Amino acid sequence: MPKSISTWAFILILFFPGFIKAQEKCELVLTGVIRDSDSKELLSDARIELAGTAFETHTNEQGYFELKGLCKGNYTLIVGHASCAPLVKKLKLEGSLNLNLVLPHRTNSFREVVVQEKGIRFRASVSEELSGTALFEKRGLSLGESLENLNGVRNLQTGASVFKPMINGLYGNRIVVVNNGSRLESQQWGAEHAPEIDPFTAGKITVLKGASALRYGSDGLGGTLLTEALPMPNGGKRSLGVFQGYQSNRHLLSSNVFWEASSKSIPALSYRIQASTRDAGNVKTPGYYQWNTGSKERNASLQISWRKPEWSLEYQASLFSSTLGIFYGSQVGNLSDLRHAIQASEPLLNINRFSYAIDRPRQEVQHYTQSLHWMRYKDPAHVFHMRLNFQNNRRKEFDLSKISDLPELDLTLTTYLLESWYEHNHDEWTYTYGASSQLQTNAWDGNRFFIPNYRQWQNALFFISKKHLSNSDLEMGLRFDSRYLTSFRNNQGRISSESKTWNNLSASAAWTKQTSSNFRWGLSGNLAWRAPSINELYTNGLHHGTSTFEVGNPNLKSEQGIKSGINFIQTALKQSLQAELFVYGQYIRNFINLVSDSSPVLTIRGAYPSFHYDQTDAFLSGIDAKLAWQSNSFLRFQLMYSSLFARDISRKDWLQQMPSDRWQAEIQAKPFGIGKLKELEIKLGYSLVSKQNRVSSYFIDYKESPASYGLMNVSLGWKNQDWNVQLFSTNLLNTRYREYLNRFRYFTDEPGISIGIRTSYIWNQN
Amino acid sequence: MESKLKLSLAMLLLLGWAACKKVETPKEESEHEAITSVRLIFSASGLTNDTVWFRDPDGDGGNAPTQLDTIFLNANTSYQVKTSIWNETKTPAEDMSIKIIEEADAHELFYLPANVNLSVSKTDKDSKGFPLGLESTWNVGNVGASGTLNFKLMHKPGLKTSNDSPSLGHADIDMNFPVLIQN
Repeated sequence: MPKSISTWAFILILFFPGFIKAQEKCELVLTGVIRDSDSKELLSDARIELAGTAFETHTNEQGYFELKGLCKGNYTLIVGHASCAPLVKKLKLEGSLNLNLVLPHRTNSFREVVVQEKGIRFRASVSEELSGTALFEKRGLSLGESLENLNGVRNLQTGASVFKPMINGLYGNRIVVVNNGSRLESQQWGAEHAPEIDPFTAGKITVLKGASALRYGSDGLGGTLLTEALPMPNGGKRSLGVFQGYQSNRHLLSSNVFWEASSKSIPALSYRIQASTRDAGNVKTPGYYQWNTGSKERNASLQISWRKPEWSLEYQASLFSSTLGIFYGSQVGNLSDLRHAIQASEPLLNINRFSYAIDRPRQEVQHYTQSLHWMRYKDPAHVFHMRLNFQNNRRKEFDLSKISDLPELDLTLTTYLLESWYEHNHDEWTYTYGASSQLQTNAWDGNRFFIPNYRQWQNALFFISKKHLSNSDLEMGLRFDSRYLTSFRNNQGRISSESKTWNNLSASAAWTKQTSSNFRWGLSGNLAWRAPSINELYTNGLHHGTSTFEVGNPNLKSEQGIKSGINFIQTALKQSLQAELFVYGQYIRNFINLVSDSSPVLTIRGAYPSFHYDQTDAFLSGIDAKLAWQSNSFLRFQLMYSSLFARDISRKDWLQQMPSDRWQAEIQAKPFGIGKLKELEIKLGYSLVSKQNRVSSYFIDYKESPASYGLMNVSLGWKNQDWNVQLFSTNLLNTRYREYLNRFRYFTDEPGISIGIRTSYIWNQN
Repeated sequence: MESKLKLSLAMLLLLGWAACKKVETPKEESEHEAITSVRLIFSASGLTNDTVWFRDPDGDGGNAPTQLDTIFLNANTSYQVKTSIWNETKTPAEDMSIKIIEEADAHELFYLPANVNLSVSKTDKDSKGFPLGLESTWNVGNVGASGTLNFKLMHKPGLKTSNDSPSLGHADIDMNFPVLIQN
């Protein structure tokens, strides 16, 4: 069971003397295969990286990897695989080399690897991923901001502080967000509600654009967003990690610390504790500061794992707590104020100076999660899981306009979820049979009614089958959901309740095939449904965050969507050139949309624009394309393009609030050295966002969509085994621009230049 | 281990039960800190109405306002006017003017006549000496056709100075009274 230190610290390495010949140019090739130490099975998808260089790759299905164009010299080889401690090896490269590496799995973990491989991976689906260095470059940002540069992913913004991820044009509860195995249950009914996840808890963030992850829910019409923690340590390994980041715009300070350890005397036990903070002041646009745009975050988490040879128990608890200022200049009140504000070139309501202070209007959100996951894998062919999850989300919103100290909105959402599922591994097939039962309640407090109290029961049955062959993957899923919602109202002392039931079937399938070493293609399709959410049914009141009067419609039906996509990956020029294309089409029946009324609502505060929830049929189609070229060890170039056409079929019109086309180019040079500093890397990025011309002609916008804009970013990084340091600048040219997907584009410009530094240090002991 | 599991399960269920109870008895949906009504009291006698009201007792949306009085004024006369602001979703009605006085530095009232021979000057001040407007002097001119008075309460923390535009800030109240000047 417990491996000796030396085994953990290092692994048996066999050198097969390769083709050794003196070479002057950088033409060396490093190849190898990676095997599991217990089963001797070849390991696919292990990550191979030469620290401090641009060289990284993954093993193929035969456990084989290849790195070309290497120069002579000393390298640090890092090999990682899901559920293995990373392997680190110093290499002196004098000629081309073939390595035969053996990776030790964690304590008794071979069975578990089988489970992880087949249970959590979405091999067949079209996805975008953020991990390793790419994730480090986003440390200190919110979850939405971190994902902003992934192809096909944008954010619906509320000012510069609230980012709500949007996958292929869909956001909110049309996206399933999974936080370390548990679906995030938060107040998803507002466009200004960002996901309550601390990105520091994630070691990997995945966005699934094709087939959805049916295990977590049926309403992922747009896609699924998964955050996963790094595997727990084992065999007595201990690590301490510290992160510090600063950026000049907003004087944003972020920090994170974690401590993880596994016990040598009690080999079953391992744990991790983590805490992070984030403090930001007022945003500075190229012309002025935005008053009251600061934010503050305090997060902490705990994971305890108890692994026995035949079963394991894992406990997780996390607390996310944030205070977000809402830009003062957006609080325009009634229609005549709105007209004044929109006509002005600079915000009328503003105090042009820096401050960390957060006043009204603001949001205070706390999200608390606890989960217990039990798993039995005595026989790897029959694995049982049970998960109990508790989430509590409290959201307080403080309006500018009121005179009392209490929040205007105060909502508490409580969710209990019990899931159990069984995985049957049979040859290359994995079958998963599962059931889940969820109870959710929401209670409102505060000064203002916006959505009623409710209680919701949701029961689901699901079946997923996966087939994994060396050159193809197949995944199919079916899910049945039954949702029973009771809402409670109190109108002048008269308490009434109303119940609704929805039953729906959803399905998902994906297939992908590697036809040659240069070409892979796949097909995916999913049928998803989404019951109307509570605000769409019953909201009735002034939404101060948006200065609109919103009226729900209790007669709304479920939305149903069919999304199908085809994707291609082609490599050429000895794999130095790679092209990826994802083309999709999605038909959504009964698409629920907030549409403006022709006449405003009159209140004592004046007239407000009025909106109501309406259903239409929609068709979304688009492409996400990527072209990457790696010249040799030194240069890498990447170009990405995404485009979306979102039609309201019933009205023969464009849908509102959809992303415009975006081009992103990136050029990266590494490694190089200046003086004593070796292994530097520099990256220059440019993104071009076009003007949204596909706007609705039926619902007239208050202001024309903003002009197209280009942004330049640059970064200079240096890392070794323990340290990772990066200097960076965003919006380098201090470009003044506004973004169509920012709901505050009527009032203010976007942030200007920011210069910053991020550093992380990890201390390891085996 | 097992007993702990049972205990935590029981605690979760208990929490769930408590949460359910609260959910089934929601708060009343009327706005608890709303501004629903405006009252103007005129000092001089001989008016048709020396107290003028605007009332929308159920707050935003819902039912239409229940009372909107016309301001009848005598030509070529001067009045002292006291304005008060109320929350009538509560019983007894709450005088919101007290809170406005507490936060006088962040508030200002405006009286903007249109199509009538009327000028209004504010006589009260906040702690910094800037105009507030709960007390005012109205100087009425000659008889004319009926016009309106746009009444506004602007909320503008941190921005208020001596001579602000009536559109600066966020409107807590923005409504119109009909005005008629008689002989």
